[in-house]
Amino acid sequence: MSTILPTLEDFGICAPVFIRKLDKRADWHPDVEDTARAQVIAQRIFPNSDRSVFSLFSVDSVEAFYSAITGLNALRSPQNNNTDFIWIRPDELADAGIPIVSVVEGKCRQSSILHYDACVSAEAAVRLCQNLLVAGRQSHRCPKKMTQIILDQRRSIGCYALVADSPHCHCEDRAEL
Amino acid sequence: MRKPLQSSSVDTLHGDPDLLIKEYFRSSPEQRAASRRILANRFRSFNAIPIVLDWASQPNVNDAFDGAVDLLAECHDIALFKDAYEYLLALSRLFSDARHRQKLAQCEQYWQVFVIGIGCAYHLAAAERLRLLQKIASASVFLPLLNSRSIKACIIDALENIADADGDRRWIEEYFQWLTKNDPDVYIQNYAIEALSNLD
Repeated sequence: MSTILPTLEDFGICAPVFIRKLDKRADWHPDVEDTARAQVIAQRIFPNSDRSVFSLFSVDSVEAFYSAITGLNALRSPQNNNTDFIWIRPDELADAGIPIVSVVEGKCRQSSILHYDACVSAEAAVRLCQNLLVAGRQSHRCPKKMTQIILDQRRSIGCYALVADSPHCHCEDRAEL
Repeated sequence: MRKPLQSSSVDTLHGDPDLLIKEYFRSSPEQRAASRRILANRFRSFNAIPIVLDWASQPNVNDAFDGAVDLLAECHDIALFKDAYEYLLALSRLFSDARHRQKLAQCEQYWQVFVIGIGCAYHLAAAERLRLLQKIASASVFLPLLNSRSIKACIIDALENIADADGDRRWIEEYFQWLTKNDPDVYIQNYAIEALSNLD
């Protein structure tokens, strides 16, 4: 098995972007007419509710991508899952009228500062999905084997999100490289 | 008036036991990670699983889908999954009529979480999990709901996990190959092609 860490190009990412995790990759590809697609996707990715705050991870470098994948999986069971996501450019969020606010979350500082809350109304969610579909945006998958490689690498540098008794988390040092 | 005690699916000494599942879904990611193993170990009846599946589709719960999958992943008893399968089958048949479109859509969501949960239930033998997934895949012959794109994609994902856990790779490979050639949905054909490449 390859132990090569993925690059941003593997996912078509041109940083800076935000990552929105999908429950399942098929959520981006509902089996519906094209005219209804944006609406259905929006309901799946930003479920309409009285709580309209959704998590995003900011990715401005490949190290930030690894930290985001770590943050998304560190507390899962098991940890090595497929990680399905879409990426969204900051201007695409702004065009859809979606404000974001930094909300530090998680034990690894480097990973936690990448976390944002987006306030998304039902209308803004449809607008965003419509714009992303027009732009030809695809969903992506960081496969479980690749997720495992990233987590192993983070574990080896003592990431606090993964190693409870780590003396020092070197994720920050790597981010500054 | 005091409410009568209710029988429950979770083994506990105090209070309404199903509240434990509610508490789990209402808690932070850290609290969920700390409690899910203990909670899953207290499931004494398959009834806990539909409750978990129901929470998975609550729109006002953070990370509801992942939270449910993670909880199912910690279950130790295949019998719970087998009984829950029969329950879901009966429920889906009950609502298979076009008049119950909304309830059928709910059943579809239940199946998705259930299937992914089976794939992730790493305490259970891969062979047992594979047999259950085979039953679900076969049931699509008489339950059209299981032919939906979403559920088929979930079955492929779950089978990939089983293959990684030393399940019957040959059967899984043949099934993926069959899908690439025979599934009427091009999306699923491509999904199976990608899954095949991941098996290498």
